[in-house]
Amino acid sequence: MTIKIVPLGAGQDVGRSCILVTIGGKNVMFDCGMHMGYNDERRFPDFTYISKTGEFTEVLDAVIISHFHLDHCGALPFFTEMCGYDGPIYMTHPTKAICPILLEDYRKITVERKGETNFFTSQMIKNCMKKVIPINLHQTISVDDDLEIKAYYAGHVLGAAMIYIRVGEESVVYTGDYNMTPDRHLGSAWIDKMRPDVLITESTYATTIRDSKRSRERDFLKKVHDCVAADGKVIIPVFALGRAQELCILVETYWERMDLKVPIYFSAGLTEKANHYYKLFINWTNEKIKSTFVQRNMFDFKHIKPWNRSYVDLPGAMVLFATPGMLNVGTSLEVFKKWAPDPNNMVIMPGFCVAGTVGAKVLQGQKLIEVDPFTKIEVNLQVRNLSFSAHADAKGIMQLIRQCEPKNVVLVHGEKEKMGFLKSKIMKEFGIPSFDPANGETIELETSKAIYADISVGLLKASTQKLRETNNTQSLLDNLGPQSVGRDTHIDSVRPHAHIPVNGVLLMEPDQYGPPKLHLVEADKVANGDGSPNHHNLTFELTKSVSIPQMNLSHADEQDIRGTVIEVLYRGLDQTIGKEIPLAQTPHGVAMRSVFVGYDEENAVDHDKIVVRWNYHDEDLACRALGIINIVLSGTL
Amino acid sequence: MKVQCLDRQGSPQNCFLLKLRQLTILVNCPLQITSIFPTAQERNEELNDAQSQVTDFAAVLTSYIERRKMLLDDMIDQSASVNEATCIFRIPDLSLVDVHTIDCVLLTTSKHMLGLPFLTEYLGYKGRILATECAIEFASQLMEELILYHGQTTSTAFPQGSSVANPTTHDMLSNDGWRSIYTLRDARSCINKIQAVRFRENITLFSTMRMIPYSSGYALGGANWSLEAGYEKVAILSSTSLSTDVHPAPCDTSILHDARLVIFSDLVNNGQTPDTEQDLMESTAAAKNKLFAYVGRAIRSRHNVIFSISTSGIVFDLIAELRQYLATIGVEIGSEDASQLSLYMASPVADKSLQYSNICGEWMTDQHQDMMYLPEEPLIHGELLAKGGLQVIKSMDSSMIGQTKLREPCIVFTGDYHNSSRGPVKWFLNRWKSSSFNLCVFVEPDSPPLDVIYQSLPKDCEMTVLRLPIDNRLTLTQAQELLRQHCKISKENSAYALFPSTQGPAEWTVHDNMKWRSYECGEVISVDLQHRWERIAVTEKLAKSITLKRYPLEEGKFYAPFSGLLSLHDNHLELTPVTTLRHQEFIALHRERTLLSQPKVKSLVDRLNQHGISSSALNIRMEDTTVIIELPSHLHASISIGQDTTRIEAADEKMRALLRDVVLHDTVEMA
Repeated sequence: MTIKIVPLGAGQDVGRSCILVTIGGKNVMFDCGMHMGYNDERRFPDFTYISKTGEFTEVLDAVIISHFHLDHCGALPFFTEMCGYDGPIYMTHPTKAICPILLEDYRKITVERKGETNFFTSQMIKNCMKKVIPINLHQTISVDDDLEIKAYYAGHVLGAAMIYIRVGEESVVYTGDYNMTPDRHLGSAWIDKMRPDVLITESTYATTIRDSKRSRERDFLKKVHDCVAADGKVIIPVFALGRAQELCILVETYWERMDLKVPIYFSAGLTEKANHYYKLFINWTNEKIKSTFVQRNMFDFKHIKPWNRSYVDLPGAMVLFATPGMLNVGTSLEVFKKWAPDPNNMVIMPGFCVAGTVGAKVLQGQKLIEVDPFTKIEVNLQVRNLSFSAHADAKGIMQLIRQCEPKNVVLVHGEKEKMGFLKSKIMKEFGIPSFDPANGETIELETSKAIYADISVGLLKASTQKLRETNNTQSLLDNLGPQSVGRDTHIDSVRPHAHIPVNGVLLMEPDQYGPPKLHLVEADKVANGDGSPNHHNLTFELTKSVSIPQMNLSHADEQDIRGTVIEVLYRGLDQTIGKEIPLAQTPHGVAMRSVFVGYDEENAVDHDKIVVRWNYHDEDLACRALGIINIVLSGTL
Repeated sequence: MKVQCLDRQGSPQNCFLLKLRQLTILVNCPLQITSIFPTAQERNEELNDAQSQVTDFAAVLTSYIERRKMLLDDMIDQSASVNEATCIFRIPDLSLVDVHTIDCVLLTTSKHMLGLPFLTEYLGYKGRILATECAIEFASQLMEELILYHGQTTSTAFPQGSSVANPTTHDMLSNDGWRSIYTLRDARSCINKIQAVRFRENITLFSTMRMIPYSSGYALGGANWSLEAGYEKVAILSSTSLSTDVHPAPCDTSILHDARLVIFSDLVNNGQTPDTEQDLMESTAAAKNKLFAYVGRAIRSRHNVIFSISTSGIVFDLIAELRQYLATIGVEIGSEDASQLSLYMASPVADKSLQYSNICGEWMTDQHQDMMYLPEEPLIHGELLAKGGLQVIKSMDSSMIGQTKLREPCIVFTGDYHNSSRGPVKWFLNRWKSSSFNLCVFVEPDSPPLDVIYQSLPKDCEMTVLRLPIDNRLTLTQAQELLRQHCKISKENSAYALFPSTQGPAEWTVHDNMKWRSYECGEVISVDLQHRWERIAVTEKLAKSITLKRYPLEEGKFYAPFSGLLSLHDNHLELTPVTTLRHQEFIALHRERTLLSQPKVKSLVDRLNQHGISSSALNIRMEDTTVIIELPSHLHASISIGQDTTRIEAADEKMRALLRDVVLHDTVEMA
């Protein structure tokens, strides 16, 4: 069978994450994001790829959102309310709680500030969120009889999850964005060793290996402290939720320790609400915050106060956390415009900036930035780039691959050149094929074609029993008693067999609800329609002549000749098939299962006529035995 | 598989030992708590028979009870100490179980895991223990509370002739297994050994068994467990509630789908003796109405109410409902002015419990989850705590609480309800005992019976004392209804249900295509789950070599004989093609062919004709029901076709092979 993967967004790119996976006949969409770098139709994934006629609900079995960042969920209301997708949508509880706030924020900026029409409305966001089914970590959700979903902790932001999906024996893991190192408010990503067929991983920091968290934090605090000590203003563009809380905890504790009085502000009314979310979903933060929350809620900040627009022109040092993180619109851009010309001031870009945003231009070191055709900003302030983003670095990505042992790796959410580097590294280190499809490019991966069936316990037992009966060690043990055989023989007699030969019949029954049912059963247990097995016996009796004149024992009497013939037969059979089949010597001949070779006990007349009798059950055994008899009787006698 | 209820005779039945596929699972490790009263002379007469036993027991007990005075008792005046009772504890009877053979311990709700430290710290159990996150946290709080109240147990050489009563059974206590409570360190160490799981998380044990917790609807994190191995599925329903007006996530009935064995436990009236049955007959709604009427009377007359109730669980709903009720009689909860009524929760773990419950929104009903999205705290007490309407009293130490701080009238929730001569409840009873308008209510279903409660009250207590269990656990009728609605019964597999003792038939009895019976403490019940099929992977290579043929005896079916090598790894079965000569030989020699139909004489003769043996040369005759076809005499061969046996006789192999093929030509064969 084949797993098909098509990125509609985030293929060799960061932004508008949207990956389509076809697995075992099910179509699943991972994430439904927007692109920060575009304002035209390119900001959303190209959904026409899924269905030209807009029959998304029919085509897709599920949409799963990994976390609340807009580049992962920004297109969701558009997709559900304006494109008409009406199937199940899954996200974690915190994502379901926080996502509508960011969407509303995004909508406001797009519609009210940029004046766009034909955009989704507040009501659409609400309607969309009503359709969302919340999931818990590690909870196994059955979308339908075949498709199963399980979420793992991803540590990127509050409620971020890695998603494992399974159809039959095929499985895919989509990581969303994740972080393998715990930080001040979140734990690190973790996943079972579930050996999925494909791991679809983000690769934002495919080539970066970051130094220790501690030194980065120290570095960050020193920069801020130096700037405010010199009476400068520090602007830190952040997303309202996520990184912001970590930096706030960091700055807050530093301020407390150093006893600083410089004011800290946080723009956007979200802060308080955001912190409340953190408090309610404290189970999704790290252990330290969780264990102390009764005594002191880490998200009740003492030094950090809400921002007021009029503060922008106040003299003196201050620190401002402003949204959004990429300086593309909103307060952060507004304040940046004012503060940028002063070389005393500082901007700290904590996150990753999408190409095309003001943030990205600042990072590139442009000195004159064109925001729109009428506005140009002169950038004189100090620019610090702090890789503080909660993505896994190259080491982290490799660590995750080691943790879950996938059979294939697909890279998304990164830049092409860096992906190429990581690809070769994965191949070299793990020998796993890896891919970096561009948007719209399909990757097809062959998976194991094993078929799953039910084997009857009767057949299992019979097969093991057969092997046991013929096992020499077992018969030795039975014949000679436990004391007289060696230790190894003992162990051998109880050791489970690695390979057990099985003979049986495969039955395929159609099932009106799903794929046909396969059963492996014993041949004689195959039932007729009415349930009662009705077997027919076929028996054979073959009379064979033995060429006695060739024998040297011309003077021996009848009885001796018979005895010798039987003895010869027994020896011949024992040497050949005796290893596999238990033989029994009787006064008249040799018996093995239903096969009998020897003299007819009832109407025995000639010592040169032997009979071979068997049931058709043992046709194969009998044919083999006949061959041996022919050789034995023609040769050695 | 085998099921054994390990609880002791007369105790509630919550602890089970299950054996399935060579795996041993222990479900729950409850703690039985009982009070002993040093002075209860009047009981002596009734209990004369067991006098000697009691003395022994007292001697045993004194040997390990620490002689220290509890901090909490400092405030209590002398008269009260006369009635002071000591609590003693024991866990189910594990004496016949080798704890090292237990593969996994599954826990359902926090109330049923309080005995766990005895298992992990005293009996040395080292294996896996699974419980939901919430259950672990609440259990840890309950343990802490128990230790703080009963840990540094006082007392007391037992005066000669003191008597002991078991509050739940009124039986005399046997002296085995009773001991004092574990220490805080034991409890912490035990809690750390429990693996936290979430509802519907699949946990695999030795790749053989899947264990899945489902929401039970009874308490935050309350779980029912399903055990699945192959096609065998056992559902264990512990404290379960179908109530829709409570905060925990609703009961997940999908646990019953395809279950071959359903074990019910902790139904309403679990292990209760007949004399307490009466007050249990009232429905939850009726009990609540009665309760509110009493509370209303006390509050209107500006008196106080004590709820002897656990710090977690039903209290969260009760606070919300009380607030609603009080609003209808014009009383507001708050602390701003005298017209407002204050609520207090007095327990060393009250703060933890109240705070923690409000971050468990994901474990609650959809309505409560919607609150989180706003974002607001899902339970009302969060708001009350913030505004001061509900306050926490951590300790009854005089430095923590003085008359100035306690605003009366008020409603107090006092945590541990097993013994009212310990902890805050004692303090409040002493404070308010003088007026019969003051009310003390026991609402937990497993509160001690009234006569035991009375014994533990201060002597001159005038207060109105009520025992009004609010019990929303499954009733027997509900349990049976669940089976009818959710257990799909198929013809080929029989299904079984087990009920607590006296709540089901004593022997296997057929009801609605299921077999029902009840279990007794200590009894081992074997259930045949008919282990018939195993899942197996057929590799691609082998699958390709198999050609399906239309099954002639039944429309739509296909069949194909196959042979392969079976390998077993990590309890996963795999079938691969036979490659080695040795195995091929083995397979060939062991192949058994089966015929499913009888040859037809007419077509047989036709086939012989085609092979050049004309029908005129054949000698065909009937003997009884057997048709005998004799071939021309020079061929020395014959075929006799009977009802279920066909016999071929021949003198040379070629002829035999020819006749075989002729006979087999139109019969159905499996090989």
